[in-house]
Amino acid sequence: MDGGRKIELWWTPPGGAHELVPAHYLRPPGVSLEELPALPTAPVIPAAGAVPPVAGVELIASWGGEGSAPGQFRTPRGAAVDAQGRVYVADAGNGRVQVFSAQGDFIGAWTQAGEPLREPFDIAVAPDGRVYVLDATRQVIARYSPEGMFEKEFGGELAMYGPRGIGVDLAGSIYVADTGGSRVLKLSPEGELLAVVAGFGAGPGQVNQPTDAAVDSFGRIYIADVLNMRLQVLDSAGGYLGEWPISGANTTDSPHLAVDAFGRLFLTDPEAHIVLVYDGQGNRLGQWGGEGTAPGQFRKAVGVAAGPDGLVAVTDVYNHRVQTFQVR
Amino acid sequence: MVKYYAFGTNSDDGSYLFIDGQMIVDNGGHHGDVYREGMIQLAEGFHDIILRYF
Repeated sequence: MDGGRKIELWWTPPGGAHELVPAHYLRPPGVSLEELPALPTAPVIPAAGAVPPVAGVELIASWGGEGSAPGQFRTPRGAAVDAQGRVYVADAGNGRVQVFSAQGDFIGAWTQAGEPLREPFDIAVAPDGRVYVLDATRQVIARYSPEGMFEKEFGGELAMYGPRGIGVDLAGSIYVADTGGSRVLKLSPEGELLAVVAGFGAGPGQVNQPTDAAVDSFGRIYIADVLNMRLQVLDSAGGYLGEWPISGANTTDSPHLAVDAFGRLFLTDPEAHIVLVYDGQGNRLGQWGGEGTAPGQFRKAVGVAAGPDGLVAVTDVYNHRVQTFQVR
Repeated sequence: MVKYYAFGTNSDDGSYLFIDGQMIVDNGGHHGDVYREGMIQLAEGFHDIILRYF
């Protein structure tokens, strides 16, 4: 962890001046302030494997613009990348999925016959190439073939409330952040509930309005536990391994997660308009972005996906565009 | 008597101030020295204050 140690509390009482609250008021009674007390020791998350540093981040492509024509978006919120490096975008405001090359060349768009996608909020590609789309308004998951043919939808009976994030592990199991329900669910590819990985609360292994989950190649589960302002790491059985603090956010413009093949964990911080990179223990490896409309900047970075060879795709919600990066 | 109080934090990295369970200062995020403040109406008496920082 590389957090600073500075904290000052200021106040302006009615009719009074703007003044610093003396530090001894911030300490429990009876604690000596001659020496700074040791920082509380966070649980050490055992390393699952060596994670390489981030040597550099380069913009590959930036495309979109607000609209409903092919290649345009309205508040795109979710992204996925398949093994061939194709980029799938949950184009939430247009109720469709669009597929591109990593360079931004338009490949195709899907909606869904019958019950159309209402608010496709996040998207994931399984190792078998099937694509899962999470519809936050209809509160279901739609499954598509690798060619983009609608196969089935499920999850209605789970009574989710405004789910915001979906991820898939190497075995093809699906993880859904049931944001309003304050649960993380593990489902089979057919939609059977396999486990409630985490339920409501603020304790270890509990969540409060989680907005995304991602799983690394060791089966570790990373959860953006937004109202608890932490990123939690669970083992594949849901056992608590540790956590580290992250920024608060609202659940619509919400932090999302991706893990690449090297074990590097990518977290969007929408309010800061950046993407953060961590190893599995919470050590920060790098970050990029910043608020703006120039290529490589964001106006609320939300969806993130990692593909082969360091390819990372990020949805840039209020610039209504998608950007791809090469993370070396 | 209910009056307005302003509270602010100056922190590196993030901090959050809660009074009576309500977030008054959201100074979250990984950053250097940043000052942010918010206001709350408080009645005379005791109030629960939680300051979280990292």
